[in-house]
Amino acid sequence: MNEKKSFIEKISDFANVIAGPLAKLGEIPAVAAIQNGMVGALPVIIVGSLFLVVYVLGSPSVGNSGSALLPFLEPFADKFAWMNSITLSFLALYCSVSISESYAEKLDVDTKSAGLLGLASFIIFTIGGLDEAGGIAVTAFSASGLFVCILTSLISVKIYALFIKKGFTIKMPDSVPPNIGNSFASLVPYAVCFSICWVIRTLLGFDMVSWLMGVLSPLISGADNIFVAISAKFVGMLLWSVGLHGENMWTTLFTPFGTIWLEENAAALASGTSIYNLPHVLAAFGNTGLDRLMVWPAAAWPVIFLMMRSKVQYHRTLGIACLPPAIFTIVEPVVFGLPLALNPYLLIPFILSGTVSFGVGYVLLSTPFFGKFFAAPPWATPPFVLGPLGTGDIKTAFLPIVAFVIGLVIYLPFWKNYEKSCLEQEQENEALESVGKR
Amino acid sequence: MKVLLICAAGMSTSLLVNNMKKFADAQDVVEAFPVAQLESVIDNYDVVLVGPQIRYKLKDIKKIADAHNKPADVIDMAVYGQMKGKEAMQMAKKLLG
Repeated sequence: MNEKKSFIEKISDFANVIAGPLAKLGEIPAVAAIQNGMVGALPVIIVGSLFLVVYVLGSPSVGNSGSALLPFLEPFADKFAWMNSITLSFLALYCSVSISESYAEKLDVDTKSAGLLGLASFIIFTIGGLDEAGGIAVTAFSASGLFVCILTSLISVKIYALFIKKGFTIKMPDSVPPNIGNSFASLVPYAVCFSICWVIRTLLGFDMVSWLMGVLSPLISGADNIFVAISAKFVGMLLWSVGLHGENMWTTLFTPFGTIWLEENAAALASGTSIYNLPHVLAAFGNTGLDRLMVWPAAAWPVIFLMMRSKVQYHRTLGIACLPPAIFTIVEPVVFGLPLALNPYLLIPFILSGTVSFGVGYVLLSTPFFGKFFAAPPWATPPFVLGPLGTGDIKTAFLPIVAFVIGLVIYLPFWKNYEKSCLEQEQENEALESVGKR
Repeated sequence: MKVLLICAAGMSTSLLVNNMKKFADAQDVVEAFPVAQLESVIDNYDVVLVGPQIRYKLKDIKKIADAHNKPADVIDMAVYGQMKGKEAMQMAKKLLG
């Protein structure tokens, strides 16, 4: 038992080496603002991408059959696809508001003024004039402009907060209502931010979005690979194994990338690419997508299955209680209840099952046999529904079953030992008549 | 007593909320929210309980809770996982002193 304990301590120490800096990172107001802001823009992504699901059902060019699944939708297919262009493909525009407001909340300044400032700064910084057709180019509003929108939002709100806090503003007499006073207080920082953005974009003609995409594009595209997937998931599972929220603490940092991949998939789909040939496997990584399809069906579901068949009374009772939330991939009851977290018997299969299953899922989804994610269903959607809804491919409903089998095979040898030890303890407890300990 | 439970998305703690309500008095309030909304809802409650999976955020949470003069602490892993409503209510009472 002592040996087991020191092993747990080792894992725990190792996880803390990673968790410590991550927790610190999450405490930085700018980082928290980006995270909260991206989460704030999520409804736009989710609802917008649902229109794309309807597009897929009514589009003959998508899929292999050559005819639309719901032919009566065919005349409207393009109209549904258009919604993608003004929701998901305007993502950076929406984020410039939500990230600015989140940052203002962290810096404790007026969120409405900051949200508008962030939006205006982003537009001024990215649009330098009309194009030849007399319109404005909206490329910068798409996920390509995401990093720039993060930058303009943070910097403009920071400038705003500095001016407000140093009192370098136009002040109104106390008799002026606060709302009016606020809009005047904003004038100086607004003028400063606008001027900076205008000088860089319009006067000097520097288009940061194109420049950054030129520099980062290969990096961003290249990051969608199986090594990134496996190592990212390993760290996420390691954090969960000591009872820390792996997704919220770690995986969420991939959200900007996952969103760019999702947008690229959606744009490719809307321009006629088949769901089977979309460019990105890890689309929507950081919040939903393949992660939710493969990980908990492998790392949590087999345990609940084994618990319900266990000889230990306590396992059976808890297993039944854990099942309904787990269907929606809410796993805290089993992670903390059994527990899986800090459990010397089950720690290895726990980390292994989620990581291996995610890797297998990556390989499977990268083949042309499966559709890729172009829509972002909410993460708590049951995996059997999440796959078909997000990829438009009904076959993806089988992937959680594959994950379950992988998980079960990995857990089985470890579970037998664990069950035995629990059974011995249960009998010991009964013998000592020390019931009520649980 | 008005108890606020905080976790990542407010989903898993809402399971515990149901069990806590079984041990709550008629005038007690027990509700769950995602951590992102803590600051906007904290004023409606007396005490804050934090899900163990986001205990890495306790420092941030305590900062907000202190500013609003509310006690806050992390729920024990076993209490949380086994959804022990009674123990969680006791913890809330203890925090309030």
